[in-house]
Amino acid sequence: MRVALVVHAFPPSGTHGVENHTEAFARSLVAKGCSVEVLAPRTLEGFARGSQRREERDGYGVTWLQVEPASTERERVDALRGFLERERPEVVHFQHLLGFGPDALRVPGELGMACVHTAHDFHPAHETWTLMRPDLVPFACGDDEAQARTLRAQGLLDKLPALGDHHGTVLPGQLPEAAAVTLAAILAGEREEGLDEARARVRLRSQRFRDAFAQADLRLATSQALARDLTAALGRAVEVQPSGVDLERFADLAPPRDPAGGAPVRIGFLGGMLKHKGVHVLLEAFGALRAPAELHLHGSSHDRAYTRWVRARAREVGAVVHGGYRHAELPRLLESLDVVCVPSLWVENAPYVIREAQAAGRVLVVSDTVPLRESFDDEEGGLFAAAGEAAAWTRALMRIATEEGLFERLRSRARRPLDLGQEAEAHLELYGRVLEARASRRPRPMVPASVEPLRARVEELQGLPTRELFDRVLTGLGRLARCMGAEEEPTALLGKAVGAGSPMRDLALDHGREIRWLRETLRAVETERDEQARRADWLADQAAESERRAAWVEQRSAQGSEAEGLERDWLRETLQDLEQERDWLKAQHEEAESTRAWLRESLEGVTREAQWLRERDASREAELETLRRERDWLRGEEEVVRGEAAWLREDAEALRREGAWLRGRVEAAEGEVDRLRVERAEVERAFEVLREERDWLQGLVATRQDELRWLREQLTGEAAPEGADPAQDGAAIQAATEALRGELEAIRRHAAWLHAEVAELAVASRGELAGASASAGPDAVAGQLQVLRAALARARAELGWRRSEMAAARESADRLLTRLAVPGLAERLSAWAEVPAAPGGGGSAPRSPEASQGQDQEQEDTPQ
Amino acid sequence: MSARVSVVIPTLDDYELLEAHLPLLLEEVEARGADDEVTLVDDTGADLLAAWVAERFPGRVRVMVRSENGGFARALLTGARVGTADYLLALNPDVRVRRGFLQPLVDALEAPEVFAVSPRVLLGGDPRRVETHQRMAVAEGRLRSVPLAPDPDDLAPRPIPFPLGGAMLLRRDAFVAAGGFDSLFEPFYFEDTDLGLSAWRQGLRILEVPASVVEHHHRGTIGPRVPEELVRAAIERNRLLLHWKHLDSRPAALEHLRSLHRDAFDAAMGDRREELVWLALALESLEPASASRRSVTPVVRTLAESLEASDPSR
Repeated sequence: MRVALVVHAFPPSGTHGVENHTEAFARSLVAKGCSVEVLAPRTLEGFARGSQRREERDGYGVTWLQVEPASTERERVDALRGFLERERPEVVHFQHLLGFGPDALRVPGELGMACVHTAHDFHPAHETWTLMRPDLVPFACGDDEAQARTLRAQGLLDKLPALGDHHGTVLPGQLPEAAAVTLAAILAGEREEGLDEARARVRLRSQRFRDAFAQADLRLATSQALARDLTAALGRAVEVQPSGVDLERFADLAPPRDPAGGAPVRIGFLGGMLKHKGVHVLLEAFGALRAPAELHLHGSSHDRAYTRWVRARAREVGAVVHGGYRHAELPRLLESLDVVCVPSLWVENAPYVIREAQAAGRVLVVSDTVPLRESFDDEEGGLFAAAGEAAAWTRALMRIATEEGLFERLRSRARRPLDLGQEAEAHLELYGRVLEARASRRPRPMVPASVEPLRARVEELQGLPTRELFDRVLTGLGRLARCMGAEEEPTALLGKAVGAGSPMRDLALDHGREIRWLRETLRAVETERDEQARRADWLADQAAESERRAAWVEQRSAQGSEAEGLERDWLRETLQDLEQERDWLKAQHEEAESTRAWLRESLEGVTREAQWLRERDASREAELETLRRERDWLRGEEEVVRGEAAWLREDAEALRREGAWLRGRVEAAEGEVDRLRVERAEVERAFEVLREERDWLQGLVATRQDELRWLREQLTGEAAPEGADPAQDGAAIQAATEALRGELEAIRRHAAWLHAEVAELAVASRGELAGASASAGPDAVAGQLQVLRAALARARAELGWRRSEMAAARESADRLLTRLAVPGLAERLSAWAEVPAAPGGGGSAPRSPEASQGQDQEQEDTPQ
Repeated sequence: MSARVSVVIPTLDDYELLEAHLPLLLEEVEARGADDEVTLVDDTGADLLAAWVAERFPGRVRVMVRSENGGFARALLTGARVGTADYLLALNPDVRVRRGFLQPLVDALEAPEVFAVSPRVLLGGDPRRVETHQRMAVAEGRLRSVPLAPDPDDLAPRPIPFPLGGAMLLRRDAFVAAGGFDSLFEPFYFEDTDLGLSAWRQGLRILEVPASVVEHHHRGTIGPRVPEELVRAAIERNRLLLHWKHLDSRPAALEHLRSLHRDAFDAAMGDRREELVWLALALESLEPASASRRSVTPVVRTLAESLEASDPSR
């Protein structure tokens, strides 16, 4: 949940109860998971009026609104609107309207945010929110007449510079006698002068607050009494939500000293050193105290006259004035006290110091007023003493210092205040309730279902603080740049320069706002100045015309006769009227001149401020120019570096490519070397095989030459001459073989002829026999048979001859065969018809063409 | 035989617009005599139109009822899917056709390189305000449309950057196969611009056909139902998404990024929160935009070439 806390002042520039509590409350809301932004006005030198500065605290942000005494409520409300539009909280919780005015309560509702107001005092009901008359007499809430007289009386105090920063009250005897009489008369209603205006002012304020508080979603008060009175005053329900304290801060303090132990009781006051706080009453009471005791006064104020008086009186009664303190020091200060006094004269609501003293286990003595009665029950943690009655206070302190067992009894029955964390939880419930009620009242725009996702996204984004929205955009732009491959480009650098965490962004934003405010103010002042100048001119013309007419009338009057008496009287009256008119016009003219002078001063002021801003601009511009030059130089450097980097990248890339290429080449060469090595080994092996084959073939050739020679001898029957060419052996063998082949062929032909002859003879014999038996008688057949027998005898003789011839041929062939039938000749002859196998069995191994080529090459190159 | 047309009108409960514009359309379609079909897609999600249409235009209009409101793009796809004709004529209910508007469109779509055609669309019926006659250009890093004043006497079809989604004719099968408009631009605006630019980048063409005239009573459907700030947010978001989808050169991307940073910073300086909201809204859709960017394939023309080619004043 996003919560904005709006308060009239904030630590360290404001350190009273409400301011300190708002700071602690912001922390506790953050601890509960809220996102908290605080808006608080302050006045610091060197800042333009209306400017806003944001700073980070413990998990929450504080936006300081620069105000000046002349800052109007309207300006502050406009600033509040700008703050809320930027921060987009869901809940705006006003802790005090001082300085902002009631119209501030309208702004959250106009922006669709929940509005919560917590009243810590009677400010919503009365301008004098202490309900304290100048004579330190309280008036009741809702007593508008008392309020009007108080305002009128405070006007009187304002005219007495000796009172200084009187805070609207004076001590008895502090006023000169005449003034004291006047004051009493005003407060008694005996001086009507100016009272009606005061009454009108009270009525007007009351109405404005009632109207404005009607706009708040939730009105809270920190005590029942205050809630009751404000409900009556505002005409709207005001609920009670007590404030808490950070109990942890006071958890480990040493316990107070019981006066029964004999040590002097340490009495303390912590708070603003103001008259309505009743410090002077406490001093009087302490002065009259007859018991071992110390009085320590902690606090400061702008009421220097009163502070001086307090210091002087403290010295007289033996009290110690320590001065102001920081809120962080409070636990230590409380630890140094036994009794804490709250001697307020005003109707104080629920002072934080009471709860803090309770948290620290200190005994309380408190003014007996209605709201304070809610803090504890009498005799239960402390005592009540009548407000403003020093004697009553002396009695109460005396009892504590001396009454046996009282201190311990009071201490042991002390009430434990509400813890800050519990208060934060209670507020979160209240915020949730308010938001729920608002949501139920606000109709969500009906859109088609397809548009609903878009509507939801837009609504969520619209709800983000501008700062977060801007951060989100810059983050998104970074992602977009990366998507577009432009991560390190100037755009990304610009994003970093103005993005989250950059002081330049806040400065630039504030600067822009200041310039806008100045321009608007300047324009308004110039418009007003021109208008006033025109009005002054017109008035001057009117005055001149009146003067002229008066002179004319006077002239006519001087020239008039008695007969013109009546006319003279009329002229005189006219003259008087004109003189009156002239005087009025003069007064108007002077007023206009005065206004013009004021405007001129204002304009000069604005001009000075503008000049100052211009100078500051110039200074910033100069710084910016330096930065720009530096940036340009850096960009130049960056470009150079980029160029070099690009060149180096290209170079590196080229080298890488070349390296890769070389590596490839090396790998290829290594592969080639390996391959060649393998090939070489193969070639060597093949060469070895060839060498073996060569040797084997040479052996074989020699063997065959021997065999050829032997074969020639066998075939030819004659020895070859010594040293004859082996080719002659081949030719001789070939000739012998041809002769044998011819002989064999002749034998084969002769045998075939013989077979054919025999077959023909048989066929002819059978045919003749068959023909004789069929055509002739037995004699013919016998004759034929005789013929056949003779033929057969011839054939047999022929056959015998042929047989003998065949036997001779066979014998010749057998002889030849006998010569040739040497052992192993047939194998060798058959082996000649085959490719000789390489020795070692590698002769038939397949070879690559290159290997074969290489081998052939080597064979060619190698001398045989 | 002229090609048949499926007319699809996605609509909400726009009774008055339909009452005023539908009869003219039906007359035109029936006069063409090409067996065209007219389909109303009831996108109310509440089945509000069927009975009403049956009573007023019995048998002449088919009504498709969507079970939930899905927006113009989805409703058009619903209608296109059930169509049976070759061509799809998408019409908004706030478009009022003029006599003889359909046939010139059909004729102009015959060329295969023409992806889609639009009639001359007169804003509010004003002949001086031609919605379709515009060019798109990148100026100061931003993609913008530049309205042009057409020559009223020139009735030849002219290239335009995109067909107007509320009055365009294109091939139905291709549209359905592509899944209709890019869902990146839902719920509305710039989906038709994207369709056109994608087509140009893929080497196709979009034409305005001046001989075909319709009137567009702009935002007659969205305006009354969606708050102006949401309409503006959708327009500004989708304008950026469109540019991101089609940015295709590093120098253009850098210029665009610079303009975005500058505008974001200016907006933050000037408390112009709505501009930051639009930008943040667009950046939330960066991932889908990147996915859409990858879907524009094959790219034949660069963005610059597409913008130049689609300039009707060229």
